[in-house]
Amino acid sequence: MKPVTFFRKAHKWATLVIGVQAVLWTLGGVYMTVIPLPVIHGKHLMSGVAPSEIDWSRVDIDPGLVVMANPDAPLIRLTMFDGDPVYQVLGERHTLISAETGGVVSPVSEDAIRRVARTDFSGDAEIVSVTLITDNVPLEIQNARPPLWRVDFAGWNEPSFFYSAETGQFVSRRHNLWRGFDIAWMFHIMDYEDRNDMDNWLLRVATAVGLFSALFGMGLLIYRLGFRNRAKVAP
Amino acid sequence: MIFVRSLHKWLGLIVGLQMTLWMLSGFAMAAMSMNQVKGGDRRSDAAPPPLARQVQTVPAMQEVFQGSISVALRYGPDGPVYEIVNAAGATLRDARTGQAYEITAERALAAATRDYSGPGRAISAEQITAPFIELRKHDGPVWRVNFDDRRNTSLYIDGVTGLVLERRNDIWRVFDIFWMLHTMDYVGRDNFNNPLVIVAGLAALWLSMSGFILLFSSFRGRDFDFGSALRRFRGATITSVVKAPGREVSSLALAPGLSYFDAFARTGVNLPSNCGGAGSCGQCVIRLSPSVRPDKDEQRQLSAAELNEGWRMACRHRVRANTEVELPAGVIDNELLSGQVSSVRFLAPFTKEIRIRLDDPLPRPFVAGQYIQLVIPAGTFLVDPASVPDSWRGKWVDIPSTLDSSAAEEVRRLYSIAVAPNENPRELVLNVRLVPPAGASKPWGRGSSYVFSLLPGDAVTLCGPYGRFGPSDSARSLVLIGGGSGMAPLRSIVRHEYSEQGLKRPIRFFYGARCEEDILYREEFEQLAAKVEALDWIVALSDDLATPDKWSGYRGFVHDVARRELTESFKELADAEFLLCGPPALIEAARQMLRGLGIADDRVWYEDFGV
Ligand SMILES: Cc1cc2nc3c(=O)[nH]c(=O)nc-3n(C[C@H](O)[C@H](O)[C@H](O)COP(=O)(O)OP(=O)(O)OC[C@H]3O[C@@H](n4cnc5c(N)ncnc54)[C@H](O)[C@@H]3O)c2cc1C
Ligand code: FES
Repeated sequence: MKPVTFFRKAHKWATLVIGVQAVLWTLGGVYMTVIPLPVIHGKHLMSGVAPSEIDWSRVDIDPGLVVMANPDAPLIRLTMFDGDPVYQVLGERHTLISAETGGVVSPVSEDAIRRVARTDFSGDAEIVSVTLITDNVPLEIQNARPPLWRVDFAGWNEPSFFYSAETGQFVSRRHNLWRGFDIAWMFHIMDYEDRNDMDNWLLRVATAVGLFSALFGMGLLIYRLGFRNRAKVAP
Repeated sequence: MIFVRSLHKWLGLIVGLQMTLWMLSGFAMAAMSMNQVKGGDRRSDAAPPPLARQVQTVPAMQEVFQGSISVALRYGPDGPVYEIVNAAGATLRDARTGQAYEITAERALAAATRDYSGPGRAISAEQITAPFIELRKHDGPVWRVNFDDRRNTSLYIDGVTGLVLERRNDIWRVFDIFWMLHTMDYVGRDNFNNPLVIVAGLAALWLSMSGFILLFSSFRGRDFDFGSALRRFRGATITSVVKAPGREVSSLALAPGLSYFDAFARTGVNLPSNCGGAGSCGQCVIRLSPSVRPDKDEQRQLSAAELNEGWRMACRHRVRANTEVELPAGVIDNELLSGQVSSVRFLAPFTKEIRIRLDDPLPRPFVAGQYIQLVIPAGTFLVDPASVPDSWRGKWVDIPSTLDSSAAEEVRRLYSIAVAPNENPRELVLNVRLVPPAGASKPWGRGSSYVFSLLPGDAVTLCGPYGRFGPSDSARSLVLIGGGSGMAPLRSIVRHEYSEQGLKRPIRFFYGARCEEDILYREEFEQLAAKVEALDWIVALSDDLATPDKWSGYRGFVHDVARRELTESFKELADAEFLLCGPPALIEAARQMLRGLGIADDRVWYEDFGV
């Protein structure tokens, strides 16, 4: 077989295997590069209101006391939540404890989450729904620890904020541009189940075939261009 | 499709290399284990020591805590700490003493060692200020703690909070180079919104989409005939019964799955062809069976009568099962014949008459209307226009002073014989028109420029004769319609008809040319028509501007002139046969015209030159 024929056939067959995926790769690649990453991350959805300072006049419980009550927690944190000083106890279990009374606050109430979300969100899009997720965590927030409050806002972009229902902590935000990115990423790394596992064999095989297809294509191109030069009519 | 193909090729030239790099880096990143890249496999999951209860109280720390957003109590590198966050950032305090808690080299080493579970030891800690390539998302003082494992692990410890920021190692360092190639951000490596990658990505998108579209036209059904491919690979063959006129019935072992055209070629039987198996010349006929469905190309190229008899184009059908095949005369022992150019002369500005003296007489005499297959050798040859007669030189002014044609491979081209069979058994005459380039960067016709480069005395190789073009004996009269070099087989037919061996039937020969200069053998035919009453020689000139006013003959396209003339003498056409020869456009127009006159397809023969 002549080299040019070999390259043509090899390129053709490799592309037959990888053609659809190559289109998906480039299509997703263009999506991911064209939309600025901060937009994907949804920075613009945050109001940017500075978190409130701790109101020490209302803190009656000492950290040592909280540690005593939760000896296995490696981390406790005192902050303000919904206007009140609270301790987040982040151990095996996550709990929210009032720094005023020591009483258990968690799970946080829907009303409190509504207020917090309102302050966190930039703009005044209506809150469409607030739902409690206890199990079946949606794919788009799969790594978060349930239970979660999901706050959906109105708008073409359908922003959603997620808060821990145990501690009221802000967990993450999602919106349609992010969701598009997630799909592009899923096609990019070919993990059609979890969308975040890059160590999959499908991807390894596909990229290898893609690499061969590209190399054969380059070989074909070099042969074609070389041949064309020789066949030119002399001036 | 041609557009998509050239788009694909040019895009390939522009982003092919980057596409290859994307595939390469994508493959490399996929092949690596993400857990190792991130150092996760050498990360200790041991729980930190429990928090002490004896920590400073809020009132005791009041001054330090004032104005903070959050205060966390956790285990630092070597004891419990308060991490106090306010608008200015984070600070640490020893939770037991309330004193400021500095992240010293010892503490950085302790934090790193506690986090690490690999085989190495922490050997050094150096303080640096982020950001830098290995720690580009962080800002501020950090400790780099180096381990002596084979991956050269380095843990980065925040210089303020003592937390582990990143776990880097040589696997990550290699990964990161591929990541950089992938994002095309050669400076910061992380910004994949840079204009370079966007432009390259858009080009690559077109590249992959055009490639995808091309897939559909690049594959034929036969590519997927894996069964046959496997049998071919194992050397299996299919035995076919092969018949040919004047030969004993024999059998040939053909390769399964190939077209008959290719399969025969493998056994040394080269069917005549101008297109090399592309289905556009219609010369590779073999007889299969009338039940084999003809495809579109065959319906266009072959006559209804031929199709009914089971004649098919060999390049359109695949060897599948044992069959019986009939080959046209002379195809089986088509050994190459050699000869010498005995004379060349211009017949028209771009048409030459070539006489070839064969070293031996033809193995079998040709029939008027047939052609030979000329071998166009590999290599370079030059056409020198110096021999153009002075009166026609004007037509050659826009043409390069030498035409240089070169190719790596031998090809074959068909040329009709322009003399009658019995004139001279060792001499062939061809009329060859120089085929101009089809586009700006396209070469001149490969075969025709070879013929134009020939000089008397040059050796040539050919095989044949072949062809099915010619009238049947039952026809009472003949109508010939030809144009340009389509003259050749028609001249052979006319000369044969009025020779001693001919039937001397009435012939009306409509010949189309662009202008007077392009009329081939004008004098010869005028004289013949004057002498032979049965011959009617009618010339139509199509280029009005180039035709002088004194031209008294017909103007317009030859098929239009023929239509007018034939309509008047319609009754005489009852037993006539029609022979059309020339470029595809002429054939198509003349066939339509004849259909319009109600002439049955089976009385029409045509030889399509394809150019
Ligand atoms: C039965 C038969 C009899 C014939 N008898 C005669 C005869 O008597 N006299 C005669 O002059 N001719 C005859 N021909 C035509 C002859 O065989 C050649 O086809 C003709 O000479 C052109 O061949 P070439 O090699 O010069 O041109 P080619 O190199 O084959 O090119 C032909 C034309 O197509 C263009 N072209 C080539 N490849 C491509 C491509 N990939 N894409 C776009 N364009 C392309 C070229 O630029 C050129 O314009 C006959 C043909 C047949 C089938
Ligand atoms: S080889 Fe030309 S049509 Fe078959």
